[in-house]
Amino acid sequence: MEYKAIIIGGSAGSFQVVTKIIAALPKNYPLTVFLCLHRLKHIRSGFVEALSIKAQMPIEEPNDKDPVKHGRIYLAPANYHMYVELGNKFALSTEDPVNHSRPSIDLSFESVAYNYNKKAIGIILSGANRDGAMGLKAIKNAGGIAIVQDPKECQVPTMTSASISATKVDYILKTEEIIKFLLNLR
Amino acid sequence: MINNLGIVDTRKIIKAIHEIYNYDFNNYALTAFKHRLIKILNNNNYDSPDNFIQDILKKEINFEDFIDKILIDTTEMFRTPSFWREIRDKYLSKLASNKELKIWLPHITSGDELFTLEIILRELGLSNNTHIKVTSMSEKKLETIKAGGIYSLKKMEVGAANYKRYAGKFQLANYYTVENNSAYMDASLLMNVSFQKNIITQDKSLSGFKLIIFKNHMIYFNQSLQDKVVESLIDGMVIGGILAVGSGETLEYSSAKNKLQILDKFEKIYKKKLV
Repeated sequence: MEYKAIIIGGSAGSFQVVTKIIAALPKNYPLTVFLCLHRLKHIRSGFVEALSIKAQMPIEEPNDKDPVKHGRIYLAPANYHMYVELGNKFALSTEDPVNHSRPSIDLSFESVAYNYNKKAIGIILSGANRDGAMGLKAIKNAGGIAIVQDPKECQVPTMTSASISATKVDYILKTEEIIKFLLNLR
Repeated sequence: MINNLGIVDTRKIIKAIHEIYNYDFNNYALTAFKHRLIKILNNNNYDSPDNFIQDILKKEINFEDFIDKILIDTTEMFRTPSFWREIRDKYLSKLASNKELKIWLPHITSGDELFTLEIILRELGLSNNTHIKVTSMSEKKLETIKAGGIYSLKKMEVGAANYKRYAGKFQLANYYTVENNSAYMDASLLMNVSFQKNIITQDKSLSGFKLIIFKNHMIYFNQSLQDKVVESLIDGMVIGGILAVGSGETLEYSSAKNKLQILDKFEKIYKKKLV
């Protein structure tokens, strides 16, 4: 397998898109999938449960220092930044919000870029701020693949447009095409 | 402007600090530590890590300021309101029932948890029955907190929203004053506190506490340092004492986990067992 990790960042208007994508990934999908989605910081439960109804792969919110495993989906927990740390473990952090966001998509993407280099795929979905643009750039600069949801399809295109201006992205795709791309990686 | 810091340079800085000042950051979690180092370098106009290392070796950095800035102090008052409700409803009155309740807040970085706890105790009428020991590796932070701290109004907004979710008796605004766009907490909340410099990762532990609140600190330590710190915390507690950590933290991987019993998996509340 050429790739090891997929990281998806999304904000306003991304929930249904994420749900469709993870619903399409089969139970034995071999990559690690990280989700960094802007969410209400004081609502700690319910989100991962809502996603798990549709997901075939196991999905969870990691604790700090949980090992990162293949074939799993990990959702950044409320009010923490989520990183992959040396030794392939999760690290959570309460550092300042970035772009008003904790979890910050930029910080999670940068961490994945640093740890997986060219084996990472970054995907930015619909959203109303600029978080994720620098992170996707980091993925691209480290040799990974940069994908952006087609702004024409996005409920709120600010985040995808910002990513496209910041980076020479590899693909601009509609939801169905993103799914096809991810399934063809196998 | 420095945008990134390699692992080799980070290690060199840690080594120099350790050699010159005897503060050991070797086992801190790297990502967050690097973010803070980059911020410090940029705020002090360094254009390379080497120049910073030279200044450390010549003892030309403001070290108290370095310690103040390297510690991550960006938590919130009443962060995770459901945890503080739980502590209020299930633990504090019970723990304070017979004799004085001794509480330890180790490795304090911001004062958020201290003021949160003090407000809860005052609203429960337990302030006089409680003694809180507050320790930190930063004397500068201790001095600031002692005087009521200085907080941004934005931070107080976040705290006020959390306090509302916590369902406190009044409003957070009852406990602070605003001057020149900064908020200062009511220092009279701290009548039952003693402050002490203590480096939780290096110094000898304290003892005799019924409750230790140590939320979102272990996320900045690697596993071996976490193991060491958890041993110190356990040493600090009486049998049956309560240890609370952050909602995203777990002691499942800790070498001392069999000395603890988990009481609440969601809020991450542990009890010291009679081993």
